[in-house]
Amino acid sequence: MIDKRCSDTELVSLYQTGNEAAFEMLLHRHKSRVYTAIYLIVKDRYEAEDLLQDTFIKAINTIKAGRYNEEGKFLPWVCRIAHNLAIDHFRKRKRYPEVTLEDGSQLFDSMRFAEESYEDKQMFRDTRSRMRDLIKELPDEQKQVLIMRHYLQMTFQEIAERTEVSINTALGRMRYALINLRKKMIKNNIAYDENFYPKRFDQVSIPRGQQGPDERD
Amino acid sequence: MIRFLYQEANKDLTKEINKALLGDAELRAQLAEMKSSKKSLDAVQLEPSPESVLNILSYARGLQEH
Repeated sequence: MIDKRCSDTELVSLYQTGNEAAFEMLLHRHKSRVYTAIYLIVKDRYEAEDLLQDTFIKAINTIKAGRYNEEGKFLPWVCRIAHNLAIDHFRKRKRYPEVTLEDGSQLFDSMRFAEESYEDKQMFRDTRSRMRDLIKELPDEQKQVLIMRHYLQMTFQEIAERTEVSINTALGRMRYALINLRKKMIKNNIAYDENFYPKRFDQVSIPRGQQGPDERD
Repeated sequence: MIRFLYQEANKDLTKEINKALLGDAELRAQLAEMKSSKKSLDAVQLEPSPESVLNILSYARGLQEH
């Protein structure tokens, strides 16, 4: 039996020594966030499912080969794998080229044009679906930063480097993304209910005296 | 403020913003709005299919056996 309070680093170590349950816990902790990030990029459930599997298989191979060395930052590492695979995915598909990132990829362009399937429309009718639609309505630059920071867990410095803008530009885009999102939520009468949505497993408490904004309320 | 919201602010900046928030109601309102947007993004959490999860776990177990 594994203690649920185990850190990601401890779980990786346990898995390396042959504890399968440790990997299962890691997967259950992070699968939703990684899958959501991939889905918001590729806009196709089936492709997102495939890329999610590819992402974790790559992570498993790296861990089992003894090449994992991320010093406890498991989620950002897995998200980077997912991001790179998504870039490769679009490179192979060669679709919707418009905005080119530093590495030549056209990752986020598909978001504006990809059509949702009937099945997708049927599947998400609740608040999550409406929120997702609001994210899609954001200007491309804001949407790009928002997905990279919030779902792919990149730092603003990494985003600035990746998108070839200054860090202040990246921060400004994120600020406007959140402000615009808030305006859209109010306009569309969407309220966030903290009791309805469970807290994320990856939220880490910060000691008193070093409190950030999430610990204020 | 955004660095602060995403906990990327260093100690000095965090201290500075915490101090500013104490005396600035407008700033507190701005932060509350951005926090609300940030939290709402967590609502967009989709779940992969059980099949995908099982495939990954099977692969993980398969490697363990070798």
